[in-house]
Order: sequence, then C-alpha cells, then structure tokens
Amino acid sequence: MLDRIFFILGEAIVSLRRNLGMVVLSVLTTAVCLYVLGGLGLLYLGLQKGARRMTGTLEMRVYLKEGTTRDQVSSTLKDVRATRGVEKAILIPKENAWEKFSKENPDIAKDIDNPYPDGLKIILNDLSQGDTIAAQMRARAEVEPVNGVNYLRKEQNLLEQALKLLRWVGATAGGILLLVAGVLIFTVTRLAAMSRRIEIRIMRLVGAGYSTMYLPMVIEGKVQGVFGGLLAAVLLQLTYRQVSLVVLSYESIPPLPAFPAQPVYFWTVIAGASYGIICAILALIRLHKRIQ
Amino acid sequence: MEVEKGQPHIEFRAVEVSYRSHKDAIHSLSLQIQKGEFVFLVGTTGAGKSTLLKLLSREVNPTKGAVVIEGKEINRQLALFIPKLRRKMGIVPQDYALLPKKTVEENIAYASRAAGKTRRQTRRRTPFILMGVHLLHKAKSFPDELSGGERQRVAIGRSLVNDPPLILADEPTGNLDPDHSMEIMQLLLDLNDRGSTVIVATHDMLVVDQVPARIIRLEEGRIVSDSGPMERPKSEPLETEVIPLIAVVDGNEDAPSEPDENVDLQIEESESGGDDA
Repeated sequence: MLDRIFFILGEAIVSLRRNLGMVVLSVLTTAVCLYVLGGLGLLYLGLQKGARRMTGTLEMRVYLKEGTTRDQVSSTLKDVRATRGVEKAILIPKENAWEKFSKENPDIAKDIDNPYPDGLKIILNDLSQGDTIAAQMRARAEVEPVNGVNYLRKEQNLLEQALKLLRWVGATAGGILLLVAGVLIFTVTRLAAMSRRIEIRIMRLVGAGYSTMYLPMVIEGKVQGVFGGLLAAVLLQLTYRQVSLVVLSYESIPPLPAFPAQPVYFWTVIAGASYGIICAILALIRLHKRIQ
Repeated sequence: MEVEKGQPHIEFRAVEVSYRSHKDAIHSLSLQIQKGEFVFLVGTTGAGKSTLLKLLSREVNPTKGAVVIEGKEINRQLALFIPKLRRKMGIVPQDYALLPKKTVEENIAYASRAAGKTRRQTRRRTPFILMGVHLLHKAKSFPDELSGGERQRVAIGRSLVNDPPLILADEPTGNLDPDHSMEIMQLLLDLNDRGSTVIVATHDMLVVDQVPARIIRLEEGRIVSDSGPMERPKSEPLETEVIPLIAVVDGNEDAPSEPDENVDLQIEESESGGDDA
C-alpha cells in the first residue's frame, strides 16, 4: 500500500515538474481569486458587524400623541416588540425625556414647559426592515402624524446598499475569477494528461488501475489549489495588517479586530484544495471518455 | 508447443463490429483458440486483424456477439474490470510505445510498477525480463540508441511484466527488416513454448511462411481461411542470434544465474518521461 502511495506521489511530482510554468500560473490565479473572494468576504463581515453596531446606536424614535393612555402605550409596546426586525423597544416617558434635556440644556429648559410627548425607543436587528417598521408605526393612531417617527433612514439605506453592492461585486468578480482559475486548473490537468500520454498508454497496455492512471493528476490539481489557497491567505493577512495600521492612525475610527488567521487559513486552503480536485476530476472525466 | 484440449482459451461467438467510419469491420465472425496456440491473423489493411486484437483487450466492444476469454464473456464486464483483464495479457504494439527519456530497464521497471508490482518485485524481475529479451547489455541505453528490433524487444519485455498467459502482438515486425523480424518471432515462439497463447496480427507473409503456426486469413472482416489448431514441436531457434527465452525463465542450467537482489540496478522511480516523445 505504502509502495503504491509512493509511486502515485512520485508520478504526481513528475507531472507537476513537467508543466511548472502552467502550474505556477494556475496557482497564482487561484490565489488571486481566493484573495479577492476572501477580502470581499472579510469586508462584508466587517460591514455587517458595523451595521449591527450602527443599528444599536441609530435607533428609531417614535413619538406618541398627547393623551395616550398607559394601556395604549403598553399595547403599542407589545405589538412593536413582536414585529420582525425589532431587537428591543422601550418606553421613554415624557418626564424622563424632559429631565434629560433639562440637565443637558439648563438655559433653554428653565423658561419653557415640557414639550416632549411620551416616546418609544426602538432598536433594530435587521437593517432592511427599517422602512417597514417606520411605516407600521406611522399607521398607528396613537403615533403623532407629523414627525412622529424619526430614524436615520438615509444612513441605514446607504449601509444596506453598500452591503448589497458588496454581495454583487463578490459574486460577479469572485465568480469570474473562480471560473478563470477553474479553466486554468482544468487546462493544466489536460496538459499533464497530454504530456503523459505515453505513460498513460503504457499503463493501459499493462493493466494499471484507474487510480494509478488518474490519481497523480488529481493530486496535481489539489496541490495547485492548496498552494493557491495558502498564497491567498498570506496575502489577505498582509493586506489586513496594512489596513489595520492605516486605521490605527485615525483616532476617530476604532481599531480593527485581530486578523482571524486560523479560520482564514483553514477555509482558503480547504476551498483551494476542493476546487483544484473538482477541476482536475472534470478534466479527467473528459479524458477518460475520450480514451474509452 | 502442445495445444490444450477442452475449453477454448479464447472464443469469438458471431462477433460483429461496426465503426462509425467503417461499417462491418468484423462481420459475424466465430472462432475458437485453444490455450497454448500460436496464431497468425493475416490479411490486408482493414481486414479486421487489429480489431480482433482490440476486441480481446477491450479497446473495442462488439456491436453483436460475444468475446469469451477463459469462459468469461469480457464484453459484458464492467469497464472497471478492464485493467484486471489486461493484466492477464501482454500487449505488444507496433509503435513500441517506449518512454524516450527512460533507459531500457527503466522502461520495463516503469511498466512493472504501473502494473502494481512493488519496488522489490520490480527490482527482482526486471533483469530476468531483460535477459529474456536479450537486452541485459542494453539495460542502460535509451530507446533512441536502439535499433528497431531492439525497441520491439523492449516492448515485448514490457508486455511480460505481468507474466501473462496470453500475448497479443499487433504487427510486431511491421517496422523491421527480415533479420530483426525473425528475432522477434523467435522471442514470441519462446513465449509460446512457455505455455502462453500467442496471437500475432501481421501482413508480413515472409515471417508467416517461416513459422509453423495456425494461420487465420481475414478479408473484409470475415475469416476466409483457417489452417486450424496446430501442435508444433518446441521451437528450434530460428536462424537468429537470439537465446531462447525459456532458458532464462525456466532456470535452465545454461541460463544466466539469478541476479543478486542486492545488486543495485539503479532502477529509478518515474523520473522524466514521454513529454517529448
């Protein structure tokens, strides 16, 4: 068994060495593809985290009409808390709001009566539900009809659009790059098969098993994918470090969290290896059909 | 060589083969070959000689009928079993199919390793095979340093890595002059003397006339004549310089002694290959 493994590995190494130029090219393309995908993935996760943090601070404020009873407030709160996209909803009595305002602006507060109505503070957990929740609030009878609902709609929409764009760019650019890398691995495997045509013929003549014939080329595809994945992970780490340094120089921006090295290395290598194997197998299926 | 009676080694049962470009490449052909026979398939180009060999090695499947080897209908077997089937036969192609960047012994060793033999088995057996095909002195030569006859002997040697009971040779003398052709025939006769069934597709009538063997003549995919099974005495060496293979295989006293297993024959694992063949 060990003897067979050594033979197959030896064949894979010979094959890799024979098409070194093409192998390097496909490793680089796989690396770039995984780098772009990984980078966009990290950016997307970062923005999503940021968005979550933003929704926590950019809450929705809803002002109730004068004369709203405690029962109505309680019923409204119950309904709001049951609404999809709402993380939390709390009542801010007009006395509390006025007290806070008075503390912060004593000069203005001393000459006027409390203008605040009772209000609700709603914290969202799904950015995309903002408009729907706002519309639902406006439709309620106990909510002030004019400026009764306040939330940073523009900012939230902007963030939502950015995430959508990122998803789209990731799918398009990453998809195209993935396709290019796949075609390259596919081509390298076919080239390897072509350059090994006499070996394959000899193997067929002497009754070599299919694993002996094809496994070296599958290993070749896997090696390309693994190296591509590793290279992509290294590039991602370096880029992240540079970005972190830039972010650190701005005091107003909070520092980035530590680079998630373990999952990034693990998943890029797994993705590269799987992709390499799949492309090599596809090339070999074609080759096998032609041979048969 | 004594021909065994009883169940035929090979049987074609009303076999028909049609290619897209060549309808009726084989036309309702039935044939039995006994174990230990030496058979020539003769005929002009396109007569169906090579197709018969390809049917035996499962490179081609019959459109109709059955191909039976040792009682098994091979055309019904799954493609997964083709390698196992081929390990029971030695296939000698006309174009040698040698790896140009490997020496003679590396070519044999590579085939042996590819066929599933261990490094140790390969190291033990390769010198014997080389002695059998009289190329031990050329073990370190590369194919382009060999004559056509020598290259064909390497191809025959390679076909022996599985010690097969059936040898299929497709035009083995097609590229050789008469002297070298007879050398190759002598090697094949020696293999037949060991008990292997040998089937040779050829149109070289000069060779056919000098070898006492069963001759099946094909024309347009049909058998037009068959001399029938023939028992021939153990082969006397034909007029060649070649030592009979049986001498080394059967451990004959005159045969070269078994090489020491520890002698380093420097048979390397797959290094370089056929990239610019």
